[in-house]
Amino acid sequence: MIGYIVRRVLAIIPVLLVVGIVVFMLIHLTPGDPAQVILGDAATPARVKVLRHQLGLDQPLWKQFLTWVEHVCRGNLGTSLFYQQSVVHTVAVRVGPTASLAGLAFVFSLVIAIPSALLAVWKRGSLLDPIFMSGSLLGVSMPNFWLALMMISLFGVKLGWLPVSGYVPLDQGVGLWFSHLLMPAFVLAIQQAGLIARMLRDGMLDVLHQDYIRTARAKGAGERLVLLHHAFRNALIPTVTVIGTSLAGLLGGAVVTEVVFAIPGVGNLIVQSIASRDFPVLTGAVMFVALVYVLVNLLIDLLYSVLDPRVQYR
Amino acid sequence: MRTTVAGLMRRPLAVVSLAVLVAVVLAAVTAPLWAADPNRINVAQRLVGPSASHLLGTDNFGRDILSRVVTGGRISMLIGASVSLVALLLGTVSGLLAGYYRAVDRTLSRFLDGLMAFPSFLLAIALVGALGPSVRSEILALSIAYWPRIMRVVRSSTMQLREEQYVEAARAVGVRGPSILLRHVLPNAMAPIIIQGTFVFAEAVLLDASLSFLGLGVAPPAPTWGNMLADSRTYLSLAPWFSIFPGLAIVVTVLALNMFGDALRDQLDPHSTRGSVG
Repeated sequence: MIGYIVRRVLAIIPVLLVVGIVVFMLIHLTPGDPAQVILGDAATPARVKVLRHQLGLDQPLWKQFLTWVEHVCRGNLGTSLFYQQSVVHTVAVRVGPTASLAGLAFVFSLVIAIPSALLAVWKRGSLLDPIFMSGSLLGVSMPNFWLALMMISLFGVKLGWLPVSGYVPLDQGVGLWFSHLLMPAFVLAIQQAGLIARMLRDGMLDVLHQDYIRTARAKGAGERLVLLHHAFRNALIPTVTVIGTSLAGLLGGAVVTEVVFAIPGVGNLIVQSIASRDFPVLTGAVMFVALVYVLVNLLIDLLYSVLDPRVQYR
Repeated sequence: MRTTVAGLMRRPLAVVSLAVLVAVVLAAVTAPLWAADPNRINVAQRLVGPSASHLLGTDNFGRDILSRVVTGGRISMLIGASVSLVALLLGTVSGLLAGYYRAVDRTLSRFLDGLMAFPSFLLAIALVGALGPSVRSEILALSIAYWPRIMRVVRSSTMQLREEQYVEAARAVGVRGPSILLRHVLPNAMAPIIIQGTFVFAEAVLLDASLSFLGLGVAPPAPTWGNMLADSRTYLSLAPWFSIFPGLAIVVTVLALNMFGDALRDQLDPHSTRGSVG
């Protein structure tokens, strides 16, 4: 088991290396000279040349890459051109709002997905099933920023029940924190719930054809016991992967929702950094999200092996 | 092929979704023939609700929303189709090679595992940010973002097909790798590729809308569903039609694409109840 964990953790090193290469390429894909961008259009060619040398831009690409990797490993991601602060600090202060939003959205999506999948399987063959299927399909097909706009205009503007945008940290009151996050978290949850619920439903229907379900029924197990004890628990195993990917995506992928609701999270920072051409922040934030994504997926993999005793630790 | 089409035509969901898609494409293609100029500004007619002269109302510049929605559909469908084509091409070629040749697999799959460490939306947004917004960089960015997913599907079916007896027989009589891949493996791996293609199409339309909503897509004044929705934010309660109709256009198109993909999967791969993941 420990050997398996160690091997699994070591396996993310090549992945991180590729992540590094992609992010590094991102910097060099950018049209224009970074030194010129930093100094502005008014800079003399001589000054640009000096800065190019200071930044190491006159070095060969592979040398620049190695220097960059060394800096990244030391936790030095450069300085934001816009905020004049270290990139690590700029990204770090945005983690709180994003994590709050992702966490809440994650809880909502499970609260929506699990009961509706159970209901759809319990009442399979009835009218509920097509309603469930079209509902989950709609959840996946709807642009979440549009749902956000519709909800803002209804609950925010017309009814005035909820704040239309902004974020209040948890330490300034749970009620305020929750009311600001309620709409964005719900919007995010709808999309994820569609995916998770379908996966769970399909998984449960698969399980219901298994021999051990027939055995359970033959022994006189009621529908409730069969569904909750046998079908649900076994369908949960493949669903955990989807749930994990969804959580990882929420932690970094809530870009549009954060922008619509003006939540100062990592996704919002990424969009801002593109608009202000703040490339150190863009690459730093992208690195951060990729890192979270890789680590969460690693955790899910490890969790998987705990949940499913059939997985062999080879 | 013929049986597939006939089978699809017996599925009501497939027929309905296909009809919707054909209607969307037709409306988009023929728009210049019947719709008003999507960019004609009429200040006297700002934010007018749906009426006989403007079926879906007008926007904050008095432009006709109906003609902007159908014109926006041209760009969305163009981007969706190009992205799924490019991603399918990249994914199929690399997937075939990686599934058949172990040496290719070792390097290419490592690289794509790394690409998959980014949520596809984030990768697309970062690439568009780096390349600068334009239709070309958007197509490139989205294709790269979806490439690994298609490659994994093609790779896993190639690895299965490689072990089939008819492939072994072909190898035994001296058929070379490339022609085994093209003649024997690819035709039998087509079903999952086409299914993934429709889902990538649907997601690309959604992602394109998000990108242009964020101001990273096709530049205004050219209408896109995303930038129309971005403009409508200020007038949510004043002119609800402004935000409702472009959004409905996205929902209807993406829903039809997803429904068609589902029907196609049920038709081509009756054994699977789930998406062909990995």
